[in-house]
Amino acid sequence: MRSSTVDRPLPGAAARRDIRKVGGLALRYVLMIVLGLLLFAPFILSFFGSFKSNAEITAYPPSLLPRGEWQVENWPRFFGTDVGGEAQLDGAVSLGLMAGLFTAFLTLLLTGLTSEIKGQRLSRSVGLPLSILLALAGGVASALYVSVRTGADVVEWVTVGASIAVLLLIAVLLLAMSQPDWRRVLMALGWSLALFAVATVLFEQIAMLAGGGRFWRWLFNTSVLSVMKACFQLVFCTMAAYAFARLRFPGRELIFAFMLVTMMIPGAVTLVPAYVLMSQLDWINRAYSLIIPGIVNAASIFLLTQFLRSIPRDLEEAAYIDGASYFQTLKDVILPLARPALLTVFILQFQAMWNDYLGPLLYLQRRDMWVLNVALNIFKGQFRAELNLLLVAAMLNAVPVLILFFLFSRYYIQGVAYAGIKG
Amino acid sequence: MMKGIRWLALLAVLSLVTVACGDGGAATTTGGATATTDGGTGTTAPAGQAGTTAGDCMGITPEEGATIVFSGWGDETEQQVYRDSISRFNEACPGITVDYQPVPADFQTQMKAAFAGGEGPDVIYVDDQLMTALGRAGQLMPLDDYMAQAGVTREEFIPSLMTIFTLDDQTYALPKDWGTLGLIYLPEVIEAAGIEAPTGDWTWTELREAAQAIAENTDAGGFCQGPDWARLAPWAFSHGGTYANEDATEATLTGEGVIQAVTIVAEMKEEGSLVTASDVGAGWCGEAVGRKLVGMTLEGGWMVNFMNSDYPDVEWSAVSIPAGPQGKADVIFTNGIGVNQATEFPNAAGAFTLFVTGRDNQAAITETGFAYPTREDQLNLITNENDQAISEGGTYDLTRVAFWGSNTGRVNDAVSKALERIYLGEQDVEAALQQAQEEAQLALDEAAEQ
Amino acid sequence: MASTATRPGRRVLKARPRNETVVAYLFLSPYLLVTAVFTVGIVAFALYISFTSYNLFEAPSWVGLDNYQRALGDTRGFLRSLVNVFLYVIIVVPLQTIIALMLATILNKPIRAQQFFRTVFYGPSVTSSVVIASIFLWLYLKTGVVNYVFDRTFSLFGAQWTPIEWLNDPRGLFQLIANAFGETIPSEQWYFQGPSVTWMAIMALNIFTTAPTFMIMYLAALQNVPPPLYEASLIDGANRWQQFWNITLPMLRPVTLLIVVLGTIGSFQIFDQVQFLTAGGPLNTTLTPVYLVYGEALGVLGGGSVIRMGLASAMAFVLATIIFIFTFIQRRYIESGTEQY
Repeated sequence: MRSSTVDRPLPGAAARRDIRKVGGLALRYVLMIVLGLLLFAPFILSFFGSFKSNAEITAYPPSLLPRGEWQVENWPRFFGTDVGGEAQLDGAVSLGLMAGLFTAFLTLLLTGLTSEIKGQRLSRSVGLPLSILLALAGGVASALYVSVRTGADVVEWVTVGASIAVLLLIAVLLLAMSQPDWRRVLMALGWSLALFAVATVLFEQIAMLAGGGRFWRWLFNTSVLSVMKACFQLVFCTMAAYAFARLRFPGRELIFAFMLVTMMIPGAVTLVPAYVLMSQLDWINRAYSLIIPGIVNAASIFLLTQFLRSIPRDLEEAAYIDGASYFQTLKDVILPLARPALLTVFILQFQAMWNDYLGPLLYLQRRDMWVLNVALNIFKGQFRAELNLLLVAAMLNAVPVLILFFLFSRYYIQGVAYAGIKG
Repeated sequence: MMKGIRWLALLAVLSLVTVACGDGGAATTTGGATATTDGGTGTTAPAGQAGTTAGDCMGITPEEGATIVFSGWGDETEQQVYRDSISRFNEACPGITVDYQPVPADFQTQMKAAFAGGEGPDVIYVDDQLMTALGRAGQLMPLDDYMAQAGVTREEFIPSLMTIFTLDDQTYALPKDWGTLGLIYLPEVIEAAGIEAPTGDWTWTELREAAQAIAENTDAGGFCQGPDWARLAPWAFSHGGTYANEDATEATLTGEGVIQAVTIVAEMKEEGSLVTASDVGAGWCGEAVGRKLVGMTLEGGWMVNFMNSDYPDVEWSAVSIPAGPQGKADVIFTNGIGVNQATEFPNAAGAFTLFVTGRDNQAAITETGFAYPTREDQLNLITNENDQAISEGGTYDLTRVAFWGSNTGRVNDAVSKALERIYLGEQDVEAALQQAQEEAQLALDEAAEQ
Repeated sequence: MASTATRPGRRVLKARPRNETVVAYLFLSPYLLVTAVFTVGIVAFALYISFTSYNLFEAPSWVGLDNYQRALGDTRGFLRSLVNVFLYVIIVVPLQTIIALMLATILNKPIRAQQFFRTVFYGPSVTSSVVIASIFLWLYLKTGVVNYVFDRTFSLFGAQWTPIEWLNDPRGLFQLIANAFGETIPSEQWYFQGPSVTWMAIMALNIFTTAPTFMIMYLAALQNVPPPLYEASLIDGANRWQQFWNITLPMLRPVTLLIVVLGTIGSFQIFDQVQFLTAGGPLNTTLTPVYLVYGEALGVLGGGSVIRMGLASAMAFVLATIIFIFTFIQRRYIESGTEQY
């Protein structure tokens, strides 16, 4: 990078400087390789350790690779672990309902709006009440389902039904604000309720099939919870972020500041009362306890708001001028542009839920509702004498997240970096 | 649009099919007719109690079509023992369905959460922790009425077993089994040390001398004991000490007996005749014995199965625990079975509890060698020699359960921590016990306020 | 209201639909509802509980400031946990910040492999805390890899290494130093004994995963430092070290503040590893406030204790206050430097 304005140094000095530069680079590479190995060493060691025999895992001095045979059967043995116990319907139903709710929401929001009007319009005074009725019916149906199918307590099916009804109602009202074709809305509602039912039953049955105290069930639980929570956040956090970023309304700054403050509340404070609340609501050992409070997250909203603020407004203005409603604009214009941020939020929240420990420890205590982290906690006690199996369990817990990470590392890193810059 | 409909139809069919095939365990609560409890069988002799009249088991008439959920902890072996018990129960009381849901770990936490949410099982294991959390909060059903109907009295059981489960003179759970400690030794190591084998007549002094001899003359450790309140308890009790007074209002950790006991243990640790499991590189003292790393230790009936499965070729033996100046004493660990106050089928649950803890079932369990029976007059059913020696500990006068009221855990914990500090050389015996005394007293005071 | 025409060329009077406020609140309603119940309501409930005695089964009974007094007077329990976590914060936060900065500096060269190594460095942080804890449970065994490494290193210098039971060693740092000089710190003055070996082992475990996360933040910030600054300094004859000290570090002040604050808040609330590995032991040297809150709330302390939700809630609020004060001071201190730039 020598410019012509710098005096040409003597050849010897140039050579020395080159060597120093190359040397520095080489040193840097060596350092990075060494550090990389160091940071990954525990995983590498555990991976090989999971193939060792019971006696060898605690033998001294330890070796990198198994000295004797590679006990490959450790892994299938772990898959086959059954700590006993039947899958219970109430937990499975809760998983199903959450999956179903998301399906319904997605269907409704994606298909409820159209820019074309076919044929005659249904008047608002008929369409709106009908839609509201349908939304409430969805909540009532879920409540009845929970009550009849699992014999749940009053407080459980009432709160579950109410939560679902409220969320569906919000969706309907949002559509209502967008001057929609009510026939289309009603049809969309019909479809979403139908898919709601289908998805609920489907996930519920898969949960029951996956068993009670088995690895497959725990994997299923963890996956469904993580994906559902991340998906719900995509929907609801984007909505909130859009409001903060683009809409003008009284109280905006206040609520935003309030949101930032809530981010500072230490989790310890909410531990006790949340636990009391969940046990009074009968939401222990149900997916509701983790999903419903988790449909929004201040950090995600913050991240999305900052991102949305940075998008140029021209396309939106054009859409408004064309007469699009806020919701339509959000759906057709903003969302496609916000894809990187959305992906980042999804990945970060998926990972957060997958790695969550305290929440599931408190709320998902029964064997058929365990997530992988909680199962690991139990195995640490059970397999005290069989650490090789504990390592298998740890690897199984880590592998999906690691794979996801290596595939999408860009987004992970972007998300963290983004938080750092904007924070 | 058509494509969408087709997909939807496919999904619908799929789910209907899975519903039809996989539908199991929908909790159907059959509103059982409230059972009429006749006057029980009164003074019938307990032997052969299993009900002979249809629908009348243990002298109790259960509700019709009762389904009860039974939950406890335990590994495979224990679970099998109880599955067999349930089969026996089903023969005696065919009208009742028992849904067994064992919980491999964190049982107490799960039960507390379940009961708090109103979802507790109908019949559960009860240990001192759950007795505190649930029993004192009125979550367990008193069993005295059912006991009367079944002709079971409190006096039948080994006395010290009932202390934990009694509150205000009412019985909230019945002991299901118990364990205690005996002196375990390896004849091989004893011989190599050139001393005589331990006998049931030994005192702690003789134990100490033997441990010294083993440490001197062989490579193995002399006597293995961890800094653990349970292992200290026999020492303390046999020296006339306890951790707290009778009504658990005052901690007595600075009493003569306790100080003497702890001093001996501390001296043994210092002179090297006493080692901990990790000193010799084992996970616990039982493993240390199996691997022949120590000559003697205090362990319980679980050694029988453990040695059989993990170290079948190692010869070992057990004698009853050594005596102290005040006589022989041992510590008892026990757990019981109790009934959820909010159960929908109290009669069925009561009958099940009484059956599982009843004579016949206890005899059957004892035969498997899994646990010791809870009635003194059934102790002769124990067949294994080592078990016989160990279980003798349950019969001494000074033997007791280490139960000190609601905060038992914290009192015992204070003792363990004091021992840890002593083993580390961080505090001398007096200072450590003084600190433990303060901590234990605090715990007892707080318990009294509840 | 707005027309529905979409044919190009047809313009409508209103540029924006008029129902902005209603729509905005509708968009916000899920957030507001959930927050009202599960944040505001919960915190208010927590405050209420902290003034009562509540064992989860019987109705709460009012006891006023009793819980707070008990918590703050509990030398060997809650106060011990505060001391433990304080030691943790003042050791871990600087360490992880410095290590993160070092890692970021090493990575901050526009070479091809940077992406790859960035991914590799960050990988371990992606897994859950209990996975890391499980792995280290094994590595920290007396016969484990860590002891082995020490053993080989010591033997290189001809010294002897006695294996340490990393996860069960209550000897404090200062105690060990004192012992080396033939002194001991008495047990009554436990607060002088320093972090125990086990506690330090857990600190190491955590830094291992948190440093890479902060490294990413530093990397992003480093790449935002405008190159002209460096070039100008070169003309002034600055060497690498002076550049780092006088340009890089000050430019990194905002992100350093963020990392320190985040690190502090996180460190004060450490729970997972304690619950998983040590349950507060050995001898309460790894007891942390959040673990105590959990233990008192669920009655799992020391082999089973009475459930004391009121006390747990009070402890949580005391912890929250301490965190708030700490981070407030930090912001003041570090931010005051930022204003110059």
